[in-house]
Amino acid sequence: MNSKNSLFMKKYNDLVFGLIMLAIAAGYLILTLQIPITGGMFNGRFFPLIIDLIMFLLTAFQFGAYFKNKGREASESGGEKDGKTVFYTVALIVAYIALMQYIGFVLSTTLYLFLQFIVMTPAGKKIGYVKYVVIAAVSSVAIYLVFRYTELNVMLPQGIFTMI
Amino acid sequence: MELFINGLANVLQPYCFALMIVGTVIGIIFGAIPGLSSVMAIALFLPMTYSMDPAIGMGLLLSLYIGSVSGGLISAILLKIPGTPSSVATCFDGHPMLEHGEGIKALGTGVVFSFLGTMFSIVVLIFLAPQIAKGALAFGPHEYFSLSIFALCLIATLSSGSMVKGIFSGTLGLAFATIGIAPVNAVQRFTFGSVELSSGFDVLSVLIGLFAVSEIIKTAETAKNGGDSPVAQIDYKHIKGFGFTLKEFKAQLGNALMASLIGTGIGILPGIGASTSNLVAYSAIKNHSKHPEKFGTGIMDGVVASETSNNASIGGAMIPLLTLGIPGDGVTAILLGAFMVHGIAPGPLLFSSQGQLVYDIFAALCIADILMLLIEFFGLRVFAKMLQVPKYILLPIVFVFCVVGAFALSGRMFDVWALLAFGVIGYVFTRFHVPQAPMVIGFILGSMTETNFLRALMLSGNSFSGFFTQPISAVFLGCTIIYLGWNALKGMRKKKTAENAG
Repeated sequence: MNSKNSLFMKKYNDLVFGLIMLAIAAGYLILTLQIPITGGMFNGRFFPLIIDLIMFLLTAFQFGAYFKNKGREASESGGEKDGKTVFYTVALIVAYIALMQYIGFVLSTTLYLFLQFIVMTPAGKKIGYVKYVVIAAVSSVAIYLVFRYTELNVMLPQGIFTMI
Repeated sequence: MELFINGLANVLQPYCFALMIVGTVIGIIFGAIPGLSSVMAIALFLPMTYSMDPAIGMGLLLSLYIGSVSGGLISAILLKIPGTPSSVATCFDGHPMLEHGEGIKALGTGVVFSFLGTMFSIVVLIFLAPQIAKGALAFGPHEYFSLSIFALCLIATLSSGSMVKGIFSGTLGLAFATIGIAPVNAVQRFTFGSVELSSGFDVLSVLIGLFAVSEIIKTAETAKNGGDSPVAQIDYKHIKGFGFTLKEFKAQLGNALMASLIGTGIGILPGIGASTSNLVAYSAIKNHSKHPEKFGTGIMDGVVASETSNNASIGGAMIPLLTLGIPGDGVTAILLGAFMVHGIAPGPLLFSSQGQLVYDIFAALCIADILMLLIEFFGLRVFAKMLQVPKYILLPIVFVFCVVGAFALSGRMFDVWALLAFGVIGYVFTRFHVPQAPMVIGFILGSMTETNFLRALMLSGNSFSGFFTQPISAVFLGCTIIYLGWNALKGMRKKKTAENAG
C-alpha cells in the first residue's frame, strides 16, 4: 500500500468499516431470505433475521458516530504498513494450499517455507538460500513423518510422492 | 480429595509427564518471543492431541498455557518488550531493575510470583468450580440464552475501545455459526448446496485462523523493517536461590495477595484475562502503596503486581470454561475446541459425568505450575538465547503446523481454506481495530444461543416473557441491559468532556 493510500485509510477508517458492515448486513439479509420456510413463526429464518436486525442497527450507529465526528482528527496511529510483503504472504499461502492437493504436502511445504522465508527476511539481512532450503526441506519432511508414521496417523496429502 | 490424588497419579505417568515438560518449555519459549502467542503455542500442539487420551491431551495443552503466560516476563525484563500482552506491566519495573544490576532478582521475582499467582488461582478454581457447576445444573434454556447474551456483551465491550465494533464482531460470529443445518427444524442454511458447509465451520479452523494466522499475516507488515533488539547480557554465574531474600519475599506477600485476587477475578469475567489484569493490578497496587513514587524506577512491587496477576488469571479463566462451557478469551476458546474434538462438552454436567477428568485437569494445572517454576528458573540462560531465533523462520513453520492441525480435523482441504479465510478476516479486523475475540466467542456460543432461544420459546408457549419472569434469566438480562446502558452513557460523557476540552 503506498503512502497516499494509507493516509486515505487513516482518515476514512471508520467510514470504510461502516461500508463493510453495511455490505455484510445486506449480503446476510439476502441470503437469509433464501432460507426455505418450514414450521411456524420460529423457523430457520427467525434467528438469522434477529442477527441481521442487530447488524443493521450497529451499522447505523457506526455511520452516526462517523458523521458526528467528521472533521475531527482521526485518532489512528501506527507507522507505515508494508502492504507488499502482506500481499506476497497471502498469495504464497493461497498457492501453497492450492498446490498441496496436487504435488503433496512435503513438496508444497518445502517450496512454501523457502519462499516465505525469503519474503519475510528483514531488509538489512542477507538471504541465506542454502540455509533456507535446508531448513524448509528438513522441517517439512520431519512434520510429514511425525504425523504420518506415529500414532497421530494423519494422512497428509501425498501428491506425486505416493511411494513414500 | 481422592479424585484429586487419582488425578495426580494420572498426570504423573511418565508419558504424560514427559509431554508436560515439553509443553512447558515450548510454552515459555512462545511466551518469551514477542509476536508468538499462547494461542499459537497451543495451535502448534493441538493436532497431536487429537489421538491422545483427553486427560493427557489437556495436560499438554495446559502446560503450554501456563508456560506461555509466564514466559512473557523473560523478554519484558531482558528486552523491555513484553513477550505477550500479559506482561506489559512487567516491563515498567522489570527492565529498570535490570539496568540497576538486579536482573537476576527481577527474573527470580517474576518466576516465583508467577508460580504463586497460578497456584492461588488453581486453589480458587478447585473450590469454586464444583459449587458453580452445581448451581448451573438448575439452568434451563431461558437461563442459558440469557447467560450467553450477557457473556457476549461483556466480551464485546471489554475487549475493545469501540462498543459498536466489538458487538458487531460478536454478531458476525453468531452469523457464521448459523451456517449449516439449523437447530430444531434442521433446515439447510447458507450452504449453497455444498456438503462441506452443511456441517458448518469447525471451531478450531475459525479460531486458529482468527488468532494465529491473522497474526502471521500481520507480522508480514513489519517483517521487512524490523530490526533485532539487543538481548541484555546477565551474569548467571553467581545465582543464589531466586535472587531475593526471605525478608524481601515476606514484604511482598501483601502485594501478591492483592494481585492474585485481582487476577483471578478478572480471569473469571469473560472477555478479559491476563492481558488486562497485569495492568489493572499494577495500577491498583501502585495506588495502594506507601511509596507510589518509586513505581517505575525498578522495584520488586511492580514485577510482583504484574506477574502474580497475569498468571492468576489462568485459574479464573478456567472457571466459566469448565462449569458453563463459556470461554472468555482466545486461549480458553481453543481449549474448548480441544475438548470438542474429543467429544467432551464442558459444562455443569462435566463434573458429574466426567468427574475424574475434571480432577485430572486440576492436577495437571498444579503440576504444570511447578514445572514452570523449575524449568523457567533453571533454563533462563537457554530461554534468553532463544530470543535471538529469527521470527521470519519460526512464524512460517508455525503456520505449517496450523495447516496440519486444520487438515487433521477431518482430513479435508476445506478446513484449511477456512483457516485461511478466517485468517484474512482476522487481519482485516486488526486493520480496522476490531477485536477478534468477540467473533470467536460469538461463533462458539452461536448454536447454543439459538438452540436455547428456540427451546425456551417453545417451553413458554412462543412468548418472550419467560426470559424476564424466570429469576436467574431475568438477572442476567437485567445486568446486560444496565451494563450496556452504563457503557453507552460513559462513552457519551467521554465525548462531551473531549468536546469541552477541545
